[in-house]
Amino acid sequence: MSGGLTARRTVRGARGVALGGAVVAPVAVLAVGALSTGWFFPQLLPSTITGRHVVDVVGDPATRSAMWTGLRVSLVATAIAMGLAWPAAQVLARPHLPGRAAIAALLFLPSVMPAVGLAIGIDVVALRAGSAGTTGGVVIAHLVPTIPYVTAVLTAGFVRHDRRLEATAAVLGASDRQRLRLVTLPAMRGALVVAGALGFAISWSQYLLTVLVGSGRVITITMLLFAALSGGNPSTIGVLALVAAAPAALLLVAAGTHADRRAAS
Amino acid sequence: MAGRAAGRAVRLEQPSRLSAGDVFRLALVVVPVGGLSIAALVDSTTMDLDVYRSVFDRPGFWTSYAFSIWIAVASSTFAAIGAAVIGFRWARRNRPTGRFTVAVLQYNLGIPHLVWAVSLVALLSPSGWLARLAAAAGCIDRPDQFPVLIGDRHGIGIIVHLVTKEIPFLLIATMPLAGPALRSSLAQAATLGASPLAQLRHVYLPRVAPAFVPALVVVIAYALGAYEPAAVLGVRQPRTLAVVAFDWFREPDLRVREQAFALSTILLATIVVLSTIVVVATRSWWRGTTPTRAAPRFAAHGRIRSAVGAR
Repeated sequence: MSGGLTARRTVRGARGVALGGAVVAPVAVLAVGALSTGWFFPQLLPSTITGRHVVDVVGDPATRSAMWTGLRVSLVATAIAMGLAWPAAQVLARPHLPGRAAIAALLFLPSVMPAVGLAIGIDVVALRAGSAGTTGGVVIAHLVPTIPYVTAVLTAGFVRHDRRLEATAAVLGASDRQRLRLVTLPAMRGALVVAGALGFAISWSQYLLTVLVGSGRVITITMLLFAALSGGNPSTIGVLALVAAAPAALLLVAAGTHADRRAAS
Repeated sequence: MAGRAAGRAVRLEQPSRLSAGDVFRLALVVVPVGGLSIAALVDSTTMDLDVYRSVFDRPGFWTSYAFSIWIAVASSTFAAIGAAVIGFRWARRNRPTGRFTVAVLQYNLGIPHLVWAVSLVALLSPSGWLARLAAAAGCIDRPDQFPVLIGDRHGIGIIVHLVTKEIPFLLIATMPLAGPALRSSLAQAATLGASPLAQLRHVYLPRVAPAFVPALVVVIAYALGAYEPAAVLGVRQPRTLAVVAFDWFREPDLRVREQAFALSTILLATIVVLSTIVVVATRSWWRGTTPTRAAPRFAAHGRIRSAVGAR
């Protein structure tokens, strides 16, 4: 009996490892590549491990500048998206909302447009508005794919949120600001964290919009990575890819576990 | 005292009509997203039929178009089947999806497409890690004996990329609908003798369809219009229409840029056609979502009727 249970647990564990492996393996190969030098076929593992490439690439002013540009763009875009989505999500969370289908259709229009076509179109709009080639223009362009998902997560949060808590606080004499600070924000913390992480990840991953609207003047890590792909050193490519993947992936996992812990407690 | 602190009253009843303030708050998100998307659509659409004719006449257009459609259809089909089977298996289990599993899915979602494409090159290319594993196992001696998976004529690398990225997306999209209620319906169906396939087809898919089908439309749109996977994992010839559109748009010749606009309109029209096919093909699932209308159909299938009634 317990033997059967153990066996089943082992199978389950093996399946978990297989799933994790399938998702993690490709990036793990990159990570090993980033830490090696002269790692050629048919070596399964590199003969020498070195942090030289990591130090070189991360220490390079071009990498640093691209990193900061990307962080600035994505943090500002996420903050604006959350600021705009917060009041809208409160309305969208209502059970009866006239025109909900039309609003949803407009919000998810960019998701069903061809990514290349959308980026080309937004670039044409930005060129006409004179915002192409500026950080602000890239931030505005990033709002288009970011706002819908941030709004969706916050709306789901407000749907679950019990508004009677605010009514109770009001009866007990709490002011508007006190209710927001002491009731609404703490209750919505999980949704806010997930929305922020998702918004950041979406903005951080944008390549087409950044390349086109940035007109080569706003350089982010993904652009350095793309440039390195043609003829770059494999270790350099590995380091750049890790730098490009780390913030968004870590943030999403952290936000997910955070929300989980709150749900469990 | 009370007058100072109370502030505005909290209205608990949810009004079903929109006030001017509500419209303004909705406009905060609808105008930047919908407005910019529509402006982008209008500005990058060309009505000049001659441009389309010149695009159709350009050498390689039809090959690229067929290549794009093949990649979109194949990857979306595999992703849909994969996500349906995995999601169904998870929904049947007697416990919620593990934290570790969710974390893995979220991590995959967080990795930029470009990085995922680059890591697939490191894994699947002729001198990549899988080829080395094959060499270590004695299956191959030289890299050129490894099957061409990256930069191949059939777009296998691109399809692998899209499938591995879109299965987690579809799973996360459907997860909120795969709760305990669905699990007990599946258990009832099983008790009444429904085979796993019947449970998948008549209980699981109808119940997750409201999230699954829209997510699948997003997947198809992405597969047709994506640039990074096709540019990194694709071959020089044939290129996908998305890659061709990007290259043409960056050419200084204005007529070529106009042709890039035509390509994005063609891609959009193709997305509309493919999405309509998906929505029509899955309409029986949608019909199954209301128990009353579904009941006669399930009566024909007999044994699992009560599992559907018990929502």
